[in-house]
Parts: sequence; C-alpha cells; structure tokens
Amino acid sequence: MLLLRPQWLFKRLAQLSIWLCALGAGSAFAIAPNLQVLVVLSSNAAPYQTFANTLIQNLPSTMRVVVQTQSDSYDATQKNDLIVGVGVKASQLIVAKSNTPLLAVMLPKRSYEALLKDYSGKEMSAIYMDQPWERQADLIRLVSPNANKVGVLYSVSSHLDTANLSRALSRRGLGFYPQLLNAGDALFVGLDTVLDSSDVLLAIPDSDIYSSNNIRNILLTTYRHGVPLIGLSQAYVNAGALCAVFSTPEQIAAQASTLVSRFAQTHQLPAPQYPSAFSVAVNQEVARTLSVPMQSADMLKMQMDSARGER
Amino acid sequence: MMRKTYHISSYLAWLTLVPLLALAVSMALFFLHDRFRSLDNNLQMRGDLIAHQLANSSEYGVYANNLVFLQNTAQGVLQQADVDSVTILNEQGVVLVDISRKNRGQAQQENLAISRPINATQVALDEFENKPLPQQIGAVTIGMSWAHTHTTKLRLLWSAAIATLLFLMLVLYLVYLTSRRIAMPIAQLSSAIADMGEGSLSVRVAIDTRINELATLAQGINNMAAQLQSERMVLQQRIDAATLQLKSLAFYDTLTQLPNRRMLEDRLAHAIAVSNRSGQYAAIMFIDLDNFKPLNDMHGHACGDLLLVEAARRIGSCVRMVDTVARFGGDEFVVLISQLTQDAIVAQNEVMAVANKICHELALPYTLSTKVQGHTQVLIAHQCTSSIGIAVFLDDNLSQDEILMRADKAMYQAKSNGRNQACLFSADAEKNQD
Repeated sequence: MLLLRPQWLFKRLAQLSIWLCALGAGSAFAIAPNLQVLVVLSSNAAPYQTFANTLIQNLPSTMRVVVQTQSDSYDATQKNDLIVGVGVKASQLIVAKSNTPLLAVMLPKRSYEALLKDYSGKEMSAIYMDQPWERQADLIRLVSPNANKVGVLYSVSSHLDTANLSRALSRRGLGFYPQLLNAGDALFVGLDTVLDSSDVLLAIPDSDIYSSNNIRNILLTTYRHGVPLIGLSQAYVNAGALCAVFSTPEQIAAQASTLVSRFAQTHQLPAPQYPSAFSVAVNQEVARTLSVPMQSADMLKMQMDSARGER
Repeated sequence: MMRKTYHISSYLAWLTLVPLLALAVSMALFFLHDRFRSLDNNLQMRGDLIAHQLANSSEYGVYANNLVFLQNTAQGVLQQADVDSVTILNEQGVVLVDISRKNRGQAQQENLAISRPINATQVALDEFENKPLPQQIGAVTIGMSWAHTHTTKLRLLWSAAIATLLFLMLVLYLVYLTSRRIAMPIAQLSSAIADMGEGSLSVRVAIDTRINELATLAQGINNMAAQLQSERMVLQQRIDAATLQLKSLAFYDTLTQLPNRRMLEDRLAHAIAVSNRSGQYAAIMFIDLDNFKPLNDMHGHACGDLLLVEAARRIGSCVRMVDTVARFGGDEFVVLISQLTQDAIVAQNEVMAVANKICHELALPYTLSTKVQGHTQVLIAHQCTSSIGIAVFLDDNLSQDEILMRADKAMYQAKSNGRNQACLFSADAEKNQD
C-alpha cells in the first residue's frame, strides 16, 4: 500500500495540472471555438483509452473532438482540422492516407523519425513515448552513485542513438558499454558479455531483446550478475527492474491537450518533443535483493526535477 | 433314439454356476479394466506433472545454456519413481541433456514418452499490443517406465483371479449343499419309484426334507405304495381262492366232495408205481348202487343226490385213510385200496372183507330228509343194495384202463350174480365167459 501511495499522489497532481492547463487555454476558446479534432487510437488497449479520455477531459467543451478507437476504420474523406494519432499504427495509417496536420503521440522517437523520413512533406509533430537520455542518465546517477559503466544491449533494428546516449552519460561521469546483438546471436551470450562489463544495464525500446517472453530470463541473468536493470515503464519495475522513469498516458494527454489548444490558436504544430511530465517507479524488493541503497520514488522524482531545473 | 438324461444335481449346478461364472468373470474383468485404466492414467498424469515441472524448472537453464544446471535438474527428476529417462532440448532441437536410468538388469522396456515444450514465462511489459504468443525455447521429454505399473497390474490380475476362484468355490460348495437337499430326496424318490415299478411294493421312502413339495411327494408315494400293496394282497387272496376252487372243480366231485375220476386216475397211477416197487398188492373196487334210478324218478334228483352223499359217507367210513374213494359219476363209486400184503390170497381176502363191509353198510336203510315245494320237510325211507366188482393187481403190466375195465367187468359179474354182493375179477372166469 505504501508503494502505491506515490502513484496515487502523481495521479492527483497530474489531474490538477490538467485543470490548470485547461484554465490557461481558456483564453484561446474565443479565437478558434470550432476546431474539429479527430483522435485515432491504434487499438482499444487500456493506455490508449486512458489517453483519449484524459485528452477529451482536458480540451474545452466547445472543441469538437471525435475519438475513433479502431484505426482500421479511419475515413480520410472526413474533414478535420487536426488529427491526433495515438500509437505507431494509427499514426502510420493517418500519415499515409491524409494530409490533415497530425499530432502523433505515444510512439517511440525512432518510429516518428521513420515516419518523417517517409512522409517528409507532411505537416506533423509528436510527443514521444521514450524519455530523453538526459533524464535516464539523471536517474542512473541518482540510484547508482558508484556506477562506472552503463551497459546497453541493442539490436540493429533499434537504431540506437549511441552518440547522444554516450554524451548524456559521460556528462554525469558514467561510462558507456554498448553491445550489439546481431541477428542469430544467442541473447544469453550477448547479455552475459554486457553484464560482465557493466555496473548498470539500461533497457531501451527494442522488441527484439526486451519482450514479454524474454524479460524474466533477462532479469534472472542480471540478478545473477548483481547488475540492476533500469526499465522503461512501470511494467518493467513490476517485473523486477530496479527502477524506471516513464510518462503515463495521463501525463502525455495533458501535454497533448496543451499542444492542441495552441494549434487552435496558431494552426501551427510545435516541434516534436519528449514528454515533459514523467514519473519514477522503484522496486524496493529488488533493491534489497541487490543490496542497492534506494530512495523512494518521490525523492528521486524531486531530485530529478531539481537537476532539470539546474540545466 | 433314447434322449440323454441328466441328474437333477447337474442341472441345478449348471443353472446356478453358469450365470454366476459369467457374472463373476465379467465383474472381475470390469474391475481389472477399470483399475488398469486408472493405473495407466495415473502414470500418464504423474508423467505430465513431472514433465511440466521439469519444463518450468529447466527454462532458465535452457535459456542460459547451463548444462551443469540442467544435468543436475534432470538427475533430480530421474530420482523420482518410474522416471526412466530425461531428455532436454533447446530451441534449435539440440540435445542438451539425455540421461537414463542404468542398471535396469533387463532389456530396456518400452516407456511412456511424455514431451512438454519449454515456454518462456511471460511477463506483461506493455499493454499496447495483444498478448504475445508464447515463445517456445526448448522441450523436455521424459520416459516413464511401465515396469512398476505392469507389476501392479499383474498383482491385481492375480488377486482378482484368486478372489473369483474363491468365490466360485464357495458358490460351488453352496450349490452342492443345496442340490444335495433337493437332489438326494428326489433320487431316493426316484429309486423308490423304480423299485415299485419292478414290483416291490413294500418299499417305503423315508426322507428328511424341509421342502414342502418333496415331503408331500414322499408321503404320496408311500401312501400309493401302501394302497397298491393292500389291493394286491386282496387280489392275491381272491386269486388263491379262485385257484383253489378251480382245483377242487378239477379233481373233486362237487356233490360228494369225493375225488373224481381224474384224481383217481392220478392216484391209481401212483398206486401202480408203489405196488410195482414194493411188491404189495393193490385193488380197485367198482361200486354201483342197485335200485338207484327209481328213487330219482320218484322223488327227484335232489333226493337222489342226498342218497349219493350218504352213500359216499358210508363208503368212506369203511376204508382206511390211505385209500381213495372216488365218484365216477351217476351212482358209480370207485375205491382204490393200496398197500395190501405181498401175498395174493391174503390180499384178495382183505379186499373182499372191505367189499363185504361196504356192501353191508350200503344195504342199511336210508332216511332222506327232503323239501317238497320249497318248504315242507319230508322224510323218505329208502333201501338199496350195491354191486361191487373188484380187481386186484400187482406188477401185471396192466394199464389203468385195463385194471378199471377188470373191476367194471367184475361189477357186472356181481350184478348178474344177483346183486348185493362183491365179485372178485378172475381171469379164468373171464376166459370161461368168453
């Protein structure tokens, strides 16, 4: 129960911020009250639904918002001022079929970049799902003050931005040990190699390596090496990662509603961006098992916020 | 063709044993089938469970290619009962561990091979996609030995067979007891009936039974036998009486109760034989009543019959017990006197003395009491004499007829001599007459 408390607090805080944003956007209502927004979900998965619900709550009631829970039934002939594509699948579909400005949300940065490359002329922007490297590096520095080397296992398909990651880490005095896993290589062997040379393993969005089927064995291997895994979401922490920094659908929805309201005024989409709000989750049991001295998630979040403020 | 028959005990035994045998055997088979299936299922279930556990516990070993760990895990599984072999393969189908129990002593028996995939344990990471398909990262195969199951089955088979056999033996004994209670009385009754059929009506059945019908049957048979026996006795008495009567009719004169001609001939033959053997003379007397016919004519045959009866009595009183008085019919009587002396003259004298005595007796007056017209008793006085012819014989090579003829001739001689006298046959006199 104690572990759940911060979650609940965050949720409340997020809701409060949403209301504040809505109040702030109120002045824009008179200018573009009739903005027609279509929200297309990749699927009716719970996080997408949460996002859509929060977004509708956050947008002014004068704005006409239609939510389509199945991306397959998207009809390009209908006139919209803005389309919010939720998830990779919906965003891909919309960008392929329509010239309406697109705000893609809840997709990895790499997927958005691929879209941008394929449809360069289209008007679109995004709120990524991944966290900026700086933020990840802050967390690593906070939870493992003595760590020297951060290992990353990646496959070719992940197109890992090793340069930026390495820079973000080195700025905080952390070494970087990337290990490429070629197709056909045994995951275990690669993992063994990277764990042998690292103090912390940083998970990246790479479905070839981190999947529901693999995560248990990966975690077991990290435990055997005594190396903590920094996860990508609450689910990773639940499964046994030491900690994770991530943004909830509510947080992304709040950010998206701000962008939509701004679009109503300017009819301009901002540059693609990382989620501004984020959460931190910690698995204290894993910390105890690995003998890692661990602060609470709230404390970590506060320190990370203050570290960002310093930058 | 004679139909084949069986004892009631055999019938009873078959009627009881055959259905019971079928029942017992089918029950035993059902039981065995059920238990065998359950044993097979048990082995299969345990195998499934062991394989499942092995698949779970060897997941990380297969993933990490940790052969030592897998070997240890497999050894642990091999310690479990009935597990004969353990094989673990990785995703590529490469055999990582393949061990089997050794020192079996016997040739490797066929095993129940149970395979289970080793699936990666799924831990939900994100909820954006549908639940991913399970990923198979290897497989385990365990061989479950049938040996213990087979031993148990064999033991079950034996116990079922012995139990069935014991049951049947018990039933057999009970059937034997029951059939004895039914079949033995019936056998007794049957043999009694057979004996009665052969004529021994004195047979009685004494059976100790609690079966109503059999008791009734035995009682009935005994009663019937008793009834038959008494009826036969009555009949026998009647037959004996009738036979006696017939005999009497054949050999005795009904009126005087004297031997008739046939009996006399028989006794004469006997006397001839005795006389020939002993050398003693014997004699035949022919007695004819004089003046008999007028009595018949005057007073009727009933009156004549009374006279004949009285005459017979008188003749009888004049001879010895060994002598024979016979009636030849009408008023003719014949007396056979045997065992006279060996001397011819003495014998003739003795016979003559008897003849004269008879003559004298018969000549005495008769008082005959007769009924006239059915009720009135009338006394009739009558007197009649007799003529007697005598033939004495001894080893004369004479036939009976010749002897009787001689006596007859002598009797006529006496009649012609004036009646009321006895006349001795003499061959010389006959010659003279001729």
